[in-house]
Amino acid sequence: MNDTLLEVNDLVKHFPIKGGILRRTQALVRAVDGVSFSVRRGETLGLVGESGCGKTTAGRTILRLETATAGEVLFDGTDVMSASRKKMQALRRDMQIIFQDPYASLDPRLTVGESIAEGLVIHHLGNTQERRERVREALIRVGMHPSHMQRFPHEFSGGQRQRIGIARALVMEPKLIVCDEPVSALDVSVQSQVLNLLRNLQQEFGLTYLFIAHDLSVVEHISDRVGVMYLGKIVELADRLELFRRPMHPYTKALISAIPVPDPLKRRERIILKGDVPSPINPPAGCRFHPRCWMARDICRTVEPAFEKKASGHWSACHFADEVSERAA
Amino acid sequence: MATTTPVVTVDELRSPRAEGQWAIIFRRFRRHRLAMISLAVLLIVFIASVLAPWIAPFPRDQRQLGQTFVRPMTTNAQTGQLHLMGTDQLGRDYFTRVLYAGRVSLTVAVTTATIAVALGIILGLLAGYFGGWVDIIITRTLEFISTFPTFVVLLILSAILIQNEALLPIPDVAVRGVASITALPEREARKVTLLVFVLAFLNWTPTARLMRGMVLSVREQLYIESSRALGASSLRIIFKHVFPNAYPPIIVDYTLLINTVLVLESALSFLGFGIQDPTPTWGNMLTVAHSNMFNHPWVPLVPGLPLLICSLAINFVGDGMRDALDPRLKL
Repeated sequence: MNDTLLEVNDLVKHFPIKGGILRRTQALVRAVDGVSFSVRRGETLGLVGESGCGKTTAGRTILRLETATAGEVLFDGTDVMSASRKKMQALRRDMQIIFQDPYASLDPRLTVGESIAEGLVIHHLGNTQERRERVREALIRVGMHPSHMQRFPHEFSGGQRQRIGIARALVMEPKLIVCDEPVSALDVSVQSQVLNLLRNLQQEFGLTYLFIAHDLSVVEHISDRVGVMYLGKIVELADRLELFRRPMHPYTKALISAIPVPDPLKRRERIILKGDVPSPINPPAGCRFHPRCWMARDICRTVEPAFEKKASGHWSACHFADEVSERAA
Repeated sequence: MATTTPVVTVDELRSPRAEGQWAIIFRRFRRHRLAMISLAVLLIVFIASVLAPWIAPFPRDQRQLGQTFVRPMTTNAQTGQLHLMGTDQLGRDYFTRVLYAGRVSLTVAVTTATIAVALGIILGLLAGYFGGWVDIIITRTLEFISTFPTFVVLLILSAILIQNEALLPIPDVAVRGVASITALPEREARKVTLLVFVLAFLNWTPTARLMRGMVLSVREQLYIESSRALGASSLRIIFKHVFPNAYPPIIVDYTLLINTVLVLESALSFLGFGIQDPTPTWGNMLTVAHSNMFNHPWVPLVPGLPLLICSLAINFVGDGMRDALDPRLKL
C-alpha cells in the first residue's frame, strides 16, 4: 500500500469578482494559488497562516466543497477533482471535515443523535439499531454521555458541540479528517481538551489529519509536519521540530518570534512585520512576501522564488533560505 | 454574594428525553393569554359550523311567510321555536344561516390559505435553493402577479367566471370535496371551489417571497455545507435541513392569510361578486344588511359580529404563534 494518503499538486482556486451590467469577471481573488503538498498515512500535517491566506479554501477545495480552478488532488490514489458522482460519494465517506464554528455547524433542528447518524443514513450503513449503536459508541469515544443523543445542540457548550462535530466525522470511520481550525472558537482550557481528544483518536483509529489553524502553538502541539501559507501559497514546509528550530523563510521566523512565551524574565528579539497582508486580488510581483520582508533585496521584487527542497524534508520558497536559517542559529 | 441558579432543573434530570421543539413552542404559546382565548373561540366557531345541520333549529333556506326582520330572541308564533338572531328579509332564520355561512366562509378561508401557502412554500424553496434561472423565472412570475391590483382582478375574474363556469376547468374531485365539507349542492360548491382557486392564485406570492428569503439565509449556514461534505443529496438537504429551519415564519403568515381571505371573500360577496344567495356566507349576508340597516339597525351585527370575532381571533393566534416561535423573546 502506498505510504501517501493525500497528494495535492498545484492546487489553484480563484474566485471571480463580477461587476458591471454584463456581470463580466472584473478581477480574480487568488485565494489558493498553486499549493502542493502530500500527507502521509497516519500523520498530521499542520497548515498555518494569517486570516485570508487561503488555508480554509485549500481545505474546502480538497474536499471538493469548492470546485478547483486548476490542479490535482489524489486521495488514496483516486483523483478527487474528476471523480464521478458514484466515486465521489464513496470518497465522501473516507474524507471528513470538522468545522471551526461549533455553533453554526450543527443543524439546530436535529437532535445530536440524528446529527451524528446523518452520514450513516446518507451512505446506507447499517439498520436503525446498528446506527444507534454506532452513534452511542462515537459519543462515548469523544467523551460524552450516550443519553445526550436525544438532546438538541443548543443545550451544549462550545466544547461539547465540537465533540459532537468530531463524533459526526468519527462515526463514518474515515481515513482523513480535515480539521478546519477546530479549536480557534474555543476557550484555551477547552482547546487543549479537544486537541488531546483529537490526538488520542488519531492513535486509536490510525487517522490522518490535515490540521488547519492560525495559532502556531496549537499546530506545534499536534502536528508531525507543518506547512506555512502566505497569500495563497505555501512558503515553507518541514518537520515540526525542524521548522521551529531552523526556519528557512523570514515569514515563518517572524511568526515563531510572535509566539508568546510564558516567562516574564526571558527577553527575546521579536520581529515586527510592517504593514498588512496584501490583497489576494493583486498580489505583489516577485516574492509575495517582499513588501513586508526586512531581508528583501532587488531580486525579491522581480523574481518569484521557487518552492524548493533546501534540506532533507525541508522545503522553502525564499531566495535567501540559508541566510534565514543561519541567523536563527 | 450572588446566589447561583441551578443549570439543570429536577425535571430535566429525571427524564433523559429533553423537551422537543414543539413542546417548547406550545409552552410558550400558552403564556399568551389572548391567543389561548382566541384559540378556544375559534374552536367553538369551527365546531358549531361543522355541526350546523344538527345544531341549526330551521332548514337553511326555509322561509317564514310574513315573518321578515323578526327581532332577535323572539318566539315564532306558528311553531313556537326561538329565532335566536331574528330573521332576514325573506323570513329565514338568521342563526341557522350564520351557522351555515360560517361553514362556507371558513372553508373558503382555510382551503384558500392552505393551497396558497403550499404553493408559496414549494416555489419559494425551489427559487431560494437552486437560484439561477429557476429563481429568476419564479421571482419574475410572482412579481408580475403581485402587481395585479388584487381587487379589480378579482371583480373581473369572478364576474366572468361566475357567468360562465366552464371557462376554468375545475377537477371534479375538488368540487366534490368542497361540497362535502360545506354541505352545499354541487352547483353551488362549484362556485365556491372556483373562488378558492382564484383567491389562492392571487395570494401565494407573499408566502413564496418570505420562503425564498428564509431559504437564502438558511442555505448559507455551515450545517448545510456540513451535510454536503457528508454527501447528502439536494433533496435531502432541502427537506431535512433547509425546510425545517425556514418554515417558522410561514406559520404566522398562514394564520394571517386565513384572515385576509376571510375578509376578502366577505368583501367580494358583499359587493355581489363572490358567492351568491341562497348560499349563505357572512359577506353576502352583509349585503342584505346594508340596504336595510336604517330600519333594522341590529341586522348588520348578525353576520358582522362572527366575522369580526373570527378575524380578531385568528390575528391573535397568529400573534401568539409569532411570539412563541421567536427564540429571542423570553416569555
